[in-house]
Amino acid sequence: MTRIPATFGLAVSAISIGIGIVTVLTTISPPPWFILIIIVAVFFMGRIFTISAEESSVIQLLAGIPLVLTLAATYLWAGVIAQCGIFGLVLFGEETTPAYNPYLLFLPLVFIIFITGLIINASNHMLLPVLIVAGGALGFTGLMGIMNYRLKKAYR
Amino acid sequence: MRPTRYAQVIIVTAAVFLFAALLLDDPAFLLCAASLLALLAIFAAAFYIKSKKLIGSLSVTRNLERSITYQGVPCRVEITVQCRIPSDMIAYVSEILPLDVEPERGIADFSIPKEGTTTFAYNLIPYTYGTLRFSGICLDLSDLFYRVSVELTAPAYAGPDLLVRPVPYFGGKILPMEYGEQEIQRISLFKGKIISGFRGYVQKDDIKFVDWKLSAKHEKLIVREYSGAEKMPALIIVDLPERTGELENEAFERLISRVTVEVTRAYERHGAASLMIISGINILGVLIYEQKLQRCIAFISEHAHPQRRLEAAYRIPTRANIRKLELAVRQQVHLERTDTVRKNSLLCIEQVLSRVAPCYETPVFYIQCLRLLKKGFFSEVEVYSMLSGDLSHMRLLISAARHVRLETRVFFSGSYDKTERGQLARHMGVTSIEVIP
Repeated sequence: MTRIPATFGLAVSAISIGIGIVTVLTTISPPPWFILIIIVAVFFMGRIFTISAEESSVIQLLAGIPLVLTLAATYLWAGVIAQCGIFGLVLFGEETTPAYNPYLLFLPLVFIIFITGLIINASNHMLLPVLIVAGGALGFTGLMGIMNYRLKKAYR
Repeated sequence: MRPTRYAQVIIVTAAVFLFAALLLDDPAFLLCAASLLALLAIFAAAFYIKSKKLIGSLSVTRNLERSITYQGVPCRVEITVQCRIPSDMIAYVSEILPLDVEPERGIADFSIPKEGTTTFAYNLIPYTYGTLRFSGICLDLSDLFYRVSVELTAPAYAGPDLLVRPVPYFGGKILPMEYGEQEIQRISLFKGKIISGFRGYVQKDDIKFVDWKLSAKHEKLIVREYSGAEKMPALIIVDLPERTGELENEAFERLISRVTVEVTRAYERHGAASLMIISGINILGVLIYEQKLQRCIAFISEHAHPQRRLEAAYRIPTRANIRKLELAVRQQVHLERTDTVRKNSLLCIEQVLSRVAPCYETPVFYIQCLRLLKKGFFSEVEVYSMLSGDLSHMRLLISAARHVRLETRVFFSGSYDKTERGQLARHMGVTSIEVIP
């Protein structure tokens, strides 16, 4: 996995965003073309016009939200693919995780996002998926809290 | 582990999207919220692994300039930190210091460079005496989304010990009081004068003991603890006999050896000893019998001029005694007819005494004793004397000690019997006089 260069991940991410957009355009009622152009432009402007290298990834993440929302509102799986693409662009950028293999972060993320997509797709209403996501977040927070406590205790 | 402001922005955004998904029943918002939360979770796990690796690779070496220092005396501490820092993390190290220790200029935290090895030094000022243990370091780690503060107090990060000795009263230069110190000086004698430590404020603590500067620094109320008077060493006073009196060599030896033992014992027990030596003779009283008066006058003018150093006249308790001495000198002047040099010198002494007398309103020695004893550095006063000659200064000393509620014990070395000792004790104002065996 470490032999795969980060540029490959970047390329896959960019392509997946394109796939998401094309998928949405092929649906029965796609959003107006100019809206898609605007949100794509916003995303790439967020990537280009960043204040500092440190803030670049956060701004990219936030700038990608309108794109994901628009695509997912039209077709859920297009939104899922686009979201994976945005995360890929953020993680494979040099500023975010220079000391870490980005694939180790990216692949679990893709897995979680697809699982979420499956849960949403299988549900009639949003109450249960919201509870699952919120519960999962709280559970993970608790788990991290315990692990941190043990880490701190080990050196006291 | 705490989120940075970037992570906080993402958490708020995710929470808003979750709420919107529930309210609008829209899967797009839920997908965004879940994606953002998943991203934060992945970064949290990565941060945890990186932190664990970094702490595991950390080693701390501390070198002290010296192993023993005194209260208020800065000690240079050199600390070397070695670790492997991931390039996307920032690490800060700060010393965990006790509350009663202050780093000079308030700095004891340093950033570790990306190379991973750094040596930094700072000066430490201990405020209370005792053994100061470096309990460890506090490591602050942060990356883009998270930060954590870990206290490393395991034996590998602690030590060595610094022994802080108390500053004896006569040991150091007394600096002028500043604003904050004035507050300390107001503490009553029964609470002691020296700060023995600091602790958190608990209910019913007197608000005047709160150290506001430290409280502001640590963002919680911290009160000072003072060492009580019973913890302090005694003030040992040696009253050396007048040279004019007849000196018993054996008794004098006993006196000196006992004082030596007491000073050594006080130093071993408290780490400090306060010794005051009352020495010298009543120069003005014996001058009139001195044959080479010119030499004496020159010496007094240079070193012990009564107008400049009134304490030289401590054996003269009141103004009336000075007047009496002045009359005696005047009589000597009248009697002296042959030696003009001596007569001139006696006239000079008479003039000095006539100038001293008007400003000699209060016994200066008494005021000096009172000022010293009021500092509250002592649990009691131990006076070692041969009780020979003029004892007026002893009366003043004991009176001053009584005024500040300090118990005075008088130890005597000489040949007085029990009745004579009783009379002397009554004369000096003490209940009894203990004999040095």
